[in-house]
This record gives sequence, structure tokens and C-alpha cells, in this order.
Amino acid sequence: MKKNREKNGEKKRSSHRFKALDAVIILLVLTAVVGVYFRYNIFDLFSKNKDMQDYYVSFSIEDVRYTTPNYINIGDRVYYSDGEELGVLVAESEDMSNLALSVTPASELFLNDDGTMEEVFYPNNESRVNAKGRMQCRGTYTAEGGFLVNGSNYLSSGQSLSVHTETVTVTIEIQNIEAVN
Amino acid sequence: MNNSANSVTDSSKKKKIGRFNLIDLILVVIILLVIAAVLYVFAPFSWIKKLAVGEHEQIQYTVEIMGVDEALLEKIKENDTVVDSVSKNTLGTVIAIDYNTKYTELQYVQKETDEKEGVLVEYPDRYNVQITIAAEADYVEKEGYSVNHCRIAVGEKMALRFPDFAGEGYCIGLLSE
Repeated sequence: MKKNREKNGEKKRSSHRFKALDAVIILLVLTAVVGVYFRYNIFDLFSKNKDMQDYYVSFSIEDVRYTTPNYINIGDRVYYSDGEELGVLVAESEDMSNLALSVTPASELFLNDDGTMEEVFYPNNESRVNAKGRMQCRGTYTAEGGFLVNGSNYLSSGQSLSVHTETVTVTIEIQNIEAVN
Repeated sequence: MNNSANSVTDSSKKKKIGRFNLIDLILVVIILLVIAAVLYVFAPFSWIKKLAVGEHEQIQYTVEIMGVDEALLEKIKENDTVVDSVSKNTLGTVIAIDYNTKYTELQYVQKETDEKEGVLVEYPDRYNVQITIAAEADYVEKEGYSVNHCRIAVGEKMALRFPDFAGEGYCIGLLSE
């Protein structure tokens, strides 16, 4: 009997007591959860598909070899360098339904004798060229006025991006963003 | 008698408490799956995606190295093995070489009529060398082609090493067979 009472006392004493280490672990877990929330805006992941619309994003490509535009076609998907999809190539304008890019000779700047800069163009479209194109993206404008592609990546005119399709890697400069009518 | 019975019961309870059972295994698997899902969602190009096995295809791609000195043109030969200078991985085998194009630069020159115009000026002893390379590539949807983890795409800058030559150039053509 005495030994049984002693064992019951030991059991009560050995039952779990909330200790300082438990509090530290709980605080660390809460800190990790709060950190993940602020880093990735978890709730935005679930709400970002609201208010998403289609936009035409016009871009330019400068100083590429004249054969490079031959590998870029309407319907090609364009990706950021990390693999996230940016958009789909469409005709550069309504007049060019079959071509993804419009091409013009590239140019370089030279210094004149009078100190002014002169833009000099390559003599034809068979050396270095500039190109313009357009892609259709899905995104939304934030309350602050910025455009977010896929609701998450900021995009604006003047921005330079390294992007790729399955067969081409190129640097583009964003020219314009307008809603698809 | 009673003491020995109690000690047997206590030891069996201890064995039951310490034993790794099926429920523990299920919980561990669930936790590992959650961790893997979080890594996959928040790290698009994580090692998890790199483990994805793509299709294998034979490709031919052309790299142009510009401004090669005339004296070095014969250093690149057909059937040379091509290696990436950075990763040291093999990128394929040379199947064709074209060095018929002189290296040119745009210059702003004055004509006899006192007007200036842009002219492509040829360098007498420098050539643009176009090297066509055959390789077995991995094709992954959305990523395109790669050879030994080196992405092959038009516009990609490539640092190549041959048995008797090294140079940098851009991929200018790609053809899958």
C-alpha cells in the first residue's frame, strides 16, 4: 500500500508540467509562422486571383543578331529567368497578324567633331537589329497604381528584364502596358 | 509476488511508450510531405524541379565566336569535343565550321561628298567563326533544351573550350532532329 501510494505520487510528479523550454519552443514556432506570413504574404496567395485581367505588354529588344527574331513566334510562352511565366507572345500590331516582332536596323552613337552625338544605323537588316513585340499577360493594378503580373511580380515601362522562351534568351525593355479591350 | 508482477507491468508499459509505431510513421511522412510541398511552391527552381526527368533529343546548335584571329582559325576542327569552360561539362561534338565571314564593325565615315554615313568596315585578319555542334540534349517543357545542365538557346552566351582553342560567343541557331 505504501509502495503504491509512493508510485502514484511519482506518477503525479512525473506528469507533464509546462516549463520554460516549452514556452521558448512555442514562441519560436509563432515567430516562424509570422515570418513566413510577412515574407510571402500568405493571404495574398489566396486572394491574388481576384481582379486579374488580361493586358497587352509592349516591349523592345535592342542590338541582336538579325537571325534571332526568326526563332520567336506568335504563341510562344515567355518566362522570367526563374521560370515563372510572364505572358504569351501575340502579334506586335493588328497589321502584323503573322509576325511576332517588327524589325529595324540597330544603331550606335558616334561623337561628332562638334561634340554632338550622332545616331548611326547599321546599313541593312542583315547584321544587328532592333525589334519590337507584344505579349499578353495576366495581372492587376494595385491600389498604389503599380502593375503586378500574375498578381505578384511588379512590371512597369522602362524596366529591363532577362526573359526566355523555350528556344531564345533575350533582354527586353518594357514600353507600354494596356488593358485588352 | 506482487512486486514482481508490478515490475513486469511497468517494464511492458515502458516498452509500449518508447516503441515507434505506425501512427508515428504516418505523422513523420505527413510532415515530410508538407515540407516538400512548401519547398516546391516557394522555390520554383529548387533542386526538386531539377530532378524532373525530361525527354532526350538530338540537337544541332550553332555558336558564333566573333573577331577570331586568322592565325587561330585552324585550331578548331571537326569532331572536336566541346566543353563548357565554366562547368567543364561536355556540350557536344563539332560537326561543321564556317569561317568565311569577315569580322566587321560599324564606323561613321566621311564620304567624298562631305557627308557621313554608317559603314560596316571589315577587319582584314579577323573572322566570325560559326561552329555547329551536335549533342544529345534534355528537353523540359517551359525550360527548353539543355546539355549536361547547360541551357542551349538562341541568344545564350557560351564560353567554350576545344582541345586547341577557347572562346566566347553566342548561340545563333538551334535545330532539333
